[in-house]
Amino acid sequence: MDMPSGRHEQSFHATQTGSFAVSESMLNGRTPRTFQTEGRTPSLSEMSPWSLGTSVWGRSKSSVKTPRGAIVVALCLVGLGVSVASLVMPFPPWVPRPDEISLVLFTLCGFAFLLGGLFISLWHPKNRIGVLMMAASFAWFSENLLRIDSNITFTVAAFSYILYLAIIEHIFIVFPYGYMRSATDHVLVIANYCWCLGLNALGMLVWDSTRDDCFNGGCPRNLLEIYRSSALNLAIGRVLCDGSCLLMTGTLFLVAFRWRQATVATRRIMTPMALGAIPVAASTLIDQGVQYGTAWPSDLWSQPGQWLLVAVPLSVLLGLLRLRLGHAALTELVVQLSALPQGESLETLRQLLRKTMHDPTADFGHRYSEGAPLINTDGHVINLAMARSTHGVHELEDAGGTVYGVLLYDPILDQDPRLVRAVVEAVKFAVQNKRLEAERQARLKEIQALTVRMVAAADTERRRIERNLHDGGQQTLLALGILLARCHKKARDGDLSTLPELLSNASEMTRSVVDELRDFCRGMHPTILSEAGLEAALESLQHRSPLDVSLDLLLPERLPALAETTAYFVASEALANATKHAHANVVTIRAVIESAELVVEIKDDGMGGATFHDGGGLQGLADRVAAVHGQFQVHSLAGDGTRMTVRIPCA
Amino acid sequence: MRIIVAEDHVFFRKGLVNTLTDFGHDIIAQFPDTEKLADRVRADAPDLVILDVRMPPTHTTEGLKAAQQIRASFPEMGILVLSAHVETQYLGKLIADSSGYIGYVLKDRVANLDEFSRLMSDIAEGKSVIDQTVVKDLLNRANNRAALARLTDRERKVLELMATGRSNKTIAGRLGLSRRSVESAVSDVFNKLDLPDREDDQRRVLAVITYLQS
Repeated sequence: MDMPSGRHEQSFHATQTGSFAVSESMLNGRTPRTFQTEGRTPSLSEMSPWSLGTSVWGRSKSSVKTPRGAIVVALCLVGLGVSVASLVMPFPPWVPRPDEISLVLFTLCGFAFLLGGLFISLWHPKNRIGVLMMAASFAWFSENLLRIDSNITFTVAAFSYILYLAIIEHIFIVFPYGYMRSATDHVLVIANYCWCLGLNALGMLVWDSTRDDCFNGGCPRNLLEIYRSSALNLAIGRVLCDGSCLLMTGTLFLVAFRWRQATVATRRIMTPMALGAIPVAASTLIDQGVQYGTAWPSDLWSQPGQWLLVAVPLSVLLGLLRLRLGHAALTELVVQLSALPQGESLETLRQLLRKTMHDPTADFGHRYSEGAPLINTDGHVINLAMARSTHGVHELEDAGGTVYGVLLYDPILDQDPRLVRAVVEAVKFAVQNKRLEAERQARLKEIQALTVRMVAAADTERRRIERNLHDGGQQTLLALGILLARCHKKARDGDLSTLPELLSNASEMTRSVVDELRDFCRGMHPTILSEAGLEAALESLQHRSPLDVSLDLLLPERLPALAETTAYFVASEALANATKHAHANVVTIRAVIESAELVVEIKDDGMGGATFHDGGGLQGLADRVAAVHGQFQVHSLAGDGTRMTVRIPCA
Repeated sequence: MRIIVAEDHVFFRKGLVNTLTDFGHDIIAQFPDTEKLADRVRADAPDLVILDVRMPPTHTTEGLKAAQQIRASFPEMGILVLSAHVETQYLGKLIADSSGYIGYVLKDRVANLDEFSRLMSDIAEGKSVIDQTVVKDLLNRANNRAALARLTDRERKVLELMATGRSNKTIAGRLGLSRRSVESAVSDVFNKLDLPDREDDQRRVLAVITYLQS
């Protein structure tokens, strides 16, 4: 051990204290309790759409118990019934019979709304768009009630059929979130409903449905009629048309504006719907234009623009499907991540994320050490508060709850929390894998270095033994050989005068060799340690030391031999250093068992300033302790004595 | 003889010095290391310098280095290197630089007092004495074994004795052969090993050792 004059405080941890635990939740499949969707954008579908799906398509009776499943099945059946009815219901004399194609198109359009609504309800149960689509479907099919010879149904149908238009615009406005996000949204949606229903109701107050200009004439009676005025009815109808077109144009503008403002990931989902809005608007304008100037559309079933409305369920479905397409890409992500070479940078991971999430703004921040800032692969520090204002944020925690990374993504993706969570888990898995691998590599390196040092230490030790034997015993024995040869020669030559003295020398030399060998053997491994244990061996050290050594030992029982030997050598070396290098006067040795660890502390009042260096005594001790999975710490401030602490597991 | 001794181990040095004194030699100086050895050798020009291979401060080859230094300045001063072990690796340069006046023996030999006394005289007179253990070690080296395989048993024995510094006469006595047979065996050895034959007994020892060392 060297004692340079500089100030040093060193701490050597022989074992790496890093955590090797894989996230518990990953192992047992439980949902990590830390998962959350950042509240800012309310999640619309927390529950698994697929679990709902299986319950609908029912593998077992118990799964059909889900009320939602039952409702969906019922709605499906009702929709099917209504569609079939739409096709086969007879056309009464007052309704002009449409051609077959128009009737099929009409029915398909309504059915497409229903089916689209059902799918969306399944995928995103909390997204109201599904319900809105189904409502639009029923409003659409309510036209068929006009074919029933009943004043009540006729009145209801005449009132409600126009509702589909308001609902479609409602869908456009709230897409893809399903709820209204601004005052404009509220104004537009409410205005639409009021306009359609209010003006229609107003018109019905002055509409005589039995007159000739309603369909073929001879329709059931409009129960809302309180005053007959075809002029007033016509005027109201025109206002309704103008207003509808105006509102539709407003909605179109809103959608276009929203699209322009949207992020890339959001646009990806909005684009089909935005494109779908164009034929819908066209349809509205065409149909409104055709019936403009009439009190009542001459033929509701074969309106030229109506089939364009199929674009609505299709585009909405397509948009939300694109959101789900991430799930397919997820498979790819998992595959790619698992094949990610060890040396691959986090940049590759980020690129994979961006591809999977279809979000070029997706980012990954990593903390390189505890307490360090989160840094992305561009080297930028990620400010979580700022990131939250623009992105969905998911913090990655290890099993101990320490945040080691963060995932940033377009908040639109929160519409599909399962995708986000799956990506998070995949990334966690990949990152933790990398971390584990890095830890493993580091540990391996440490062990390799340790092995080299151990071999070197063993070599040094062998050299020391050889030197001791060479310089001590062997030389004395060689000298003894010479002495005895001289005795022999003198005895042979009859020169006996000096013989007694020479023989006395020889005997003295023999004793000297024996003493040397005894000391040497004790240095190799003190017998007392194996026979009587660490406590006795430390007491023996105390007796033989020239220093004032005080012992504080509490070792009620014998410990594993390796632990005892290691602790003994640390104490012995520390004592030797205190004597030879540190010029200490007082040394305290404390040895206790603390939570299945043998803790030995050696403190001296010497000059301190001990340092680790390769091949040095301290390094040798540290390696020795590391080899038995212990910890070794040295506090040695220049001028403030040296304190060595060794902890050796004994369990 | 006037002798200077350099040996770090006290007991051994004392034993050696006493032995030499018993034999009537004049120990003009004794050192525990090689620090002042060269100066003293230069000043007193002894007949023989005896040194241990391993000496402080590094306990590796201090003695050998000192011996080479002395040899460089005094080609005809007797140098006896003592070693506790067979360490043939270090010998090369010293042997190569010497033409006689050199000895390399194990420390054990000192206890054989008469033989030791004789070999000291031999060295001081210009002969070369190499410990037979060292020679055996050299002969057993892997790279020598192939070359020596060409030798007959008798040639091999002759080579072994020749390498330790024995004269033809001694070799003949030891092996129970005639002088002529030994001479022809020596000649054969030199031929088979591609060594130029040396008339001088001492030079041929060194040639053989150098050959075996390379």
